[in-house]
Amino acid sequence: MPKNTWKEALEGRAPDAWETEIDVFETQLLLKKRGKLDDKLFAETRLRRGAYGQRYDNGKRHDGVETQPLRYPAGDLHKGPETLWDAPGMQRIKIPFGKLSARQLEVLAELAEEYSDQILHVTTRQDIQLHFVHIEDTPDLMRRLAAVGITTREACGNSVRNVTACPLAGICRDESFDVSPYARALAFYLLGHEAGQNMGRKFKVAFSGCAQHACGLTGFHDIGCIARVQEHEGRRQRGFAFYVGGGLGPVPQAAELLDAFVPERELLPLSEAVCRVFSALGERTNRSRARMKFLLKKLGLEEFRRLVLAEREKLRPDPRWTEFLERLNQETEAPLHAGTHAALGPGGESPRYRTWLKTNVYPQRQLGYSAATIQLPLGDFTPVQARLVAKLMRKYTGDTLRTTVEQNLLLRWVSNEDLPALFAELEEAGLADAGANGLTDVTSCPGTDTCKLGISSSRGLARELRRHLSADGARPEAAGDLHVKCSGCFNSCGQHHVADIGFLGVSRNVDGRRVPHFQLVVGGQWENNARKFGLAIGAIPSKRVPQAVDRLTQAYAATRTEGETFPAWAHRVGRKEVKALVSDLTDVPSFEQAPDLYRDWGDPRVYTTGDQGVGECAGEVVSPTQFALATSERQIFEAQLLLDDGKPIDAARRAQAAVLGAGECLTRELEPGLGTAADEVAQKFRQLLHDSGAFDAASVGGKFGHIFFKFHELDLSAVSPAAAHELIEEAQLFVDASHQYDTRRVRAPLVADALEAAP
Amino acid sequence: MTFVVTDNCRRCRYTDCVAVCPVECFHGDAEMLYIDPQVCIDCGACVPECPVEAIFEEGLLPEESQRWLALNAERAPQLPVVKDKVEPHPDLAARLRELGLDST
Repeated sequence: MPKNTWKEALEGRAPDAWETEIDVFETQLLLKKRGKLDDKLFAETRLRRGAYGQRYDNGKRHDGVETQPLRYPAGDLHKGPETLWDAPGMQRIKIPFGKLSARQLEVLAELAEEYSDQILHVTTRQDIQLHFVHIEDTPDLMRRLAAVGITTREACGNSVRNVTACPLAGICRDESFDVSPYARALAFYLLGHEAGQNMGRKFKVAFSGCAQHACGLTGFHDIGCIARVQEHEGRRQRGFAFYVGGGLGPVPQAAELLDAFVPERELLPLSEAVCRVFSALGERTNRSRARMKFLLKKLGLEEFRRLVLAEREKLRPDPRWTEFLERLNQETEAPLHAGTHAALGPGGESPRYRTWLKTNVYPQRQLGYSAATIQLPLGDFTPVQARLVAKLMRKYTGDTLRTTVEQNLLLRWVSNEDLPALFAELEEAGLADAGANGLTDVTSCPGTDTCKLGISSSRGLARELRRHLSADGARPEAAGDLHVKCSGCFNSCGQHHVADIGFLGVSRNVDGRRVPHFQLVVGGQWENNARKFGLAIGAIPSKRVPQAVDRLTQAYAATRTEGETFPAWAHRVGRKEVKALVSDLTDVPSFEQAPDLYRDWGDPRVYTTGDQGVGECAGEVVSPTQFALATSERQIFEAQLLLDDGKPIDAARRAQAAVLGAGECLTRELEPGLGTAADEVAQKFRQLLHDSGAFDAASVGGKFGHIFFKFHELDLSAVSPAAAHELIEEAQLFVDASHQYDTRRVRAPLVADALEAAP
Repeated sequence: MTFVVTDNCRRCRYTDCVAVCPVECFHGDAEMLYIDPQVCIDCGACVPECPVEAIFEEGLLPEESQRWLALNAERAPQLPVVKDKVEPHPDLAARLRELGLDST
């Protein structure tokens, strides 16, 4: 029989749990369309599967004069508060530590082609993003990813985001050891882990193989691990310097050292303990103060450490904590071709090749091999290019590459002998631009192109800077390696705080009109895992930013001392002097005199801030109870489908799961240490919710608590269709009553109170 | 939606918030600052900057501070924009004691 759907065609290719999750998500889409799922709950549900909002998805777009409505076929149906169903969205795809196989890259190319605007975008956290995706395509998109080992679970939302790591891990000349297997172990341990399901905000983890380079960026993550080998308990052991509570955003905070050496076997449990402390005590009402850096500041490092260690002591041992240590070499990559001891790239003598060799090629620790960076302007590449890269991987390097936080791709294990041929093939596809990770390789977040929060066009600016700085004579030699990074707003997705020259989008008011600007930040530290942030200098009109960059690079080239880095120069010269270099650029003439300044890069409309939407960066805080009740709703819906399908016993079993699940989550709220045995749950439900009268008191029009016990004792050996029908109705009554209880009961003490109560 | 400056700012007026505002929506008089709700884009960047926790999202305004919503909307447009950080209010020390925020 032909397979008509992706679900049928791919059955059994992904782990069962992944397939089930995606089926569940598809059912939730259906329930949403039938009006059975609340907007906020659905929004957080899709965010936790990486399906994110996109600019203009509230159905409005400013045309430069006034806001115009955008009409979509599904009318008033929403996929989140103020987010229209048919408005295109973004799908974020988590790529743990940026590692992709050739096959995965090909599937991504297919998905970009079929479901998006045909662009693959590499993010500053090693994810791949597709834009202009319709929500109803996302379940199949996810199935096709799952079939090649990629999950989008917890790519957005209040959850543990993609775990990033240095792209040179395993081949770096300076690393203590390869952090890849550790990054993978922690990523999959925390994925879907109960400790990460109730966070007040997002949570980011990064790994680095060494302390001195930038690659891992552990200086500004919630958890940052730097590989270390040292004498511990009498023998040489692997472990990590373990940092916590870093973050960028409007209030950048360098991570603090929780423990100078965490042995490898303690990595997973200690990370779990940190997640638990953050979940229990992190702010949830006020989103602006909800990241873990604020909790750390509030508690102080000592108290935070005490709480984490106390939490660690309480954890029940889990075999996964150490199992991965037996398989560390699984992550080891085998090169395709023999390495050559010849010097880098014999043969190719064209000047373009020599330059590329100098700027894009890194000699690996393994003699005879190199890693080559494919520079992607703005982090974008096309499906055609992606397929070519997959082909080149199979031809030259073996099966893997890495995405990088500088929005590029890194081909590893290229035999030095193959470099000229590889260059020639890359050049043909437009993928051999020199200057990777240097001045012209400008990083940018999506900004006003697609992000709802963007204030100024960071991509427009980055594109222009790249063009401007690529011109002959536009780059003083001393400035060739500087990092330039642009964010469309203060949330720092472009990581401007840790660039030599950084920009964040702001808007300024001139005679009652808005003018797009970028705040200039100079001298952030990229090296040493990006632990020091730049100096804010002032806002410059967007259209004059290229001039400002020229002045900075020229002043630096002219006045730096021998060997002085840009951050060192900026801090020596000082904020005032740097400001003086650009201060005349800040005066904005009237609209009539200089209309161009009132338009943003790459956008013909007169600039406005009227298109900003509500951020979805981490959605709404939805309690585990609300999620559990949504699960019960879905199970009742599925029970009905099973009954319609002539399967009354299966239907009754599903209805039973709905009731017992709802009852269990309400009981667990009151008794966090509750076990999972059915009898224990029933006994506690009776004691805390039924006999106390608390459950029934919340319902209007009847008492439904007793239904729980009927389902607890339900005999599933023989259920007639009529009996199953009745059971489904009763299950619905119980779940409705659970909703009423959840809304009406006196709320458990707020987290703020819990914090006050913490010793 | 907008963010709202409330009573704690009165006679503190730290102005740390104005430095991070991406849209210059703070206006001020001698006593305190106000946010222009027509300009505020709800980013929340100002909230963690305020040393006296005077700024709230509209939906999270405490009951006793509700009146500040209208006061911000009314006063902000009549006052000059405050773009750069200035010295706090001269009564700051006394005011902090009054608010119970005096750490000394």
